[in-house]
Amino acid sequence: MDDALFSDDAPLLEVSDLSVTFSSEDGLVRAVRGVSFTLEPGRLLSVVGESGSGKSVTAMALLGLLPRSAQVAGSAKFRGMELLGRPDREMMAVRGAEIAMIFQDPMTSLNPVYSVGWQLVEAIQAHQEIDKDAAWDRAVHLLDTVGIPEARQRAAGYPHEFSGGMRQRVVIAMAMANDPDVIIADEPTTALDVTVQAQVLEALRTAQEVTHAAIILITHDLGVVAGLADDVMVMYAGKAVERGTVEDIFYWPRMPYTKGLLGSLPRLDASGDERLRPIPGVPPSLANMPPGCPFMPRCPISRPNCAEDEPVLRPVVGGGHLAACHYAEEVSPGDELFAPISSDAEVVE
Amino acid sequence: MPDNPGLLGGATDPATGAPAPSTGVGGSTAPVEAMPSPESFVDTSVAAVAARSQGRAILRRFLRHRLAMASLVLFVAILLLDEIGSRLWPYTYSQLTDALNSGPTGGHPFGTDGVGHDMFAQVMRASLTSIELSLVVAAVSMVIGVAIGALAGYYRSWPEAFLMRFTDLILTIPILAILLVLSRQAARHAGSWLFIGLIIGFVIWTSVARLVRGALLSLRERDFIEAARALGAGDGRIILRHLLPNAVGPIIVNTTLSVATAILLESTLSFLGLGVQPPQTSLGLLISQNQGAATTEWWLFAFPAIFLVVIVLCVNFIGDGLRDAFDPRQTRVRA
Ligand SMILES: Nc1ncnc2c1ncn2[C@@H]1O[C@H](COP(=O)(O)OP(=O)(O)O)[C@@H](O)[C@H]1O
Ligand SMILES: [Mg+2]
Repeated sequence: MDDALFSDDAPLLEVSDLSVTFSSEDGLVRAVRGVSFTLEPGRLLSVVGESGSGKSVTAMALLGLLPRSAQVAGSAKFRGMELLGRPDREMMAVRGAEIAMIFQDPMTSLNPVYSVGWQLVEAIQAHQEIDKDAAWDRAVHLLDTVGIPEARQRAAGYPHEFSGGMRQRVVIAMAMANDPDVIIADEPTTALDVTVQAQVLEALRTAQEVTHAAIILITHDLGVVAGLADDVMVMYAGKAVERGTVEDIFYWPRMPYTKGLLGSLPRLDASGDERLRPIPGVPPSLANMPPGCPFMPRCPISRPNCAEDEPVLRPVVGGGHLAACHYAEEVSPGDELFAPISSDAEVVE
Repeated sequence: MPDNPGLLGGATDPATGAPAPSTGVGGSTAPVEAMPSPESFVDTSVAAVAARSQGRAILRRFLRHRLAMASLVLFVAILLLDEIGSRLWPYTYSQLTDALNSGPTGGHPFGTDGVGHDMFAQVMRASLTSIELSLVVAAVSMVIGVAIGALAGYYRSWPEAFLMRFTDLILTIPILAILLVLSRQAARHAGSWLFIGLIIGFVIWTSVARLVRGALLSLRERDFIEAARALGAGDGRIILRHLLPNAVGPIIVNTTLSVATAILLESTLSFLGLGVQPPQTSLGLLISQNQGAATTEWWLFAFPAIFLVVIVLCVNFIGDGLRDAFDPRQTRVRA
């Protein structure tokens, strides 16, 4: 990697107007439609949205891992260096060393025929000139860091000898192996039992402390985000529809969709009769999207003009809080926009 | 797609019928693993799990496969007999003894033929040649097959097109016709077993190649390949260190089968007078030379035939055991 390409005063990761289009039988699938965000060193940005909202595609675009059929436009600069359209050979030096990725399913993201220690050594040696014994020691140290008990012995074990939570720790250790500046974790706990999710997130936080990496934590579960994230970006139908600090988002969401996501969370502070308030309906198909706000069909405060102009992400009430809603100012923290799940027959429409 | 190069009749082995799992770590059909052996209980201790390296684990699983071990012992015994026994034996394979057309006796345990060749010396020499020839075939077909198959499965495009056209060629023109043309050329020029082996290898590699291609086509879509790429692994690393090791099982099984197939193909060529040429000898040549004597001087035919069948079976069982040994899920231990 040519250090001259990096610039010291450029932001760590600056994504502007990223869009990704796939061609399919149903026409063009616009999976990501103009996403912009900046990632500061050491921060944890959470990208939240229902399944299919373009979170994974955004992540894969940053690492140049999309299939060739994907058309990628916009810009993504890592320390000032443009990542999009960079030749694969050069991206190889970025992947793992500067930006590492953790995938959703730890059951399938480890190679079944190698011991976990071997796989860590492999990850280390992909970027560092270091002899095998030293690499093995480092592998053991990494396993220890992410909370694998008896790391030296367990390093010789094979993936199938580990539980799901333990495997995801191994995957986190692999992501840490080359001290990346950015770690992207794509739904790292979705495939795991609820009981081990918190431990794996703790391991991720440890990884952040040790490597001082900035983290992009992708999830469809806002509940995962609350205690962990610094910033939140909410995605819907391939767009960022709300962005702000975690306080902004949790205390005063400005986009009805975000409010809906929060309403569908079980709340610990809820009094007895408060029930979940899920968002009715499903996200639109990304092929041949109609004009207007993609959330409109599901939105309780929509008005006729929402069907014509798609709102842009714009600042609300100053500060860094952005929302993509024509009526963001009308959304107040107290109002319940969505109907609760009914426990008896009187189903609310 | 049964892609067995042994197109020459029913002489193929039982293992051919069972296609190797395309992922290399898939379902295994070990006949011998019915009872847990004492070691599998030892396995469950964390220390045992941790202490064993991968090579040791494979070795241990192989050692536990009784049929494969017995076959390996027998195969090695035959090799040693051929290599060392033939030096200690009073007769060489080309030497003419005084005993003509003698049945098995103390001095000539396998009897002699009409001109006085000691059949024991001949069978030892012939099986050595057949084994060496088949190892050449295995090496050639594995190297070409893995290389082309890996390129075809990973990159598609021209290696795949080449593999497919070449396979079409082999499938439409009978393999025997190709071998006949080629080996006639070879016989004219050199006629040695090495040439025959190279020729057979150059023709039957498509079987390994198609198997490797198939395995890689499915393996490359697996998450751990994407994960390896996301951590900075390049194409070469992904093919050599991540994909092929996952296909080792099918490669080994198929290569072993090609050893057996090669021995049988060579025999067929010998029947047509185009295999190994005298004064060299091979099991196929001995059998074809003596087929007329099968009912009268049975020993001339029976001993080479028995050696042929035993060697082919041994090789197949060894392949079976290796396939199971390379499957790390054979002994499942949960953390
Ligand atoms: N390789 C592909 N070809 C075509 N469409 C794709 C491809 N990958 C993803 N998509 C589409 O892009 C959209 C966003 O997907 P994704 O980013 O995986 O969503 P998520 O937010 O759940 O991670 C989905 O509608 C998906 O069908
Ligand atoms: Mg996803």
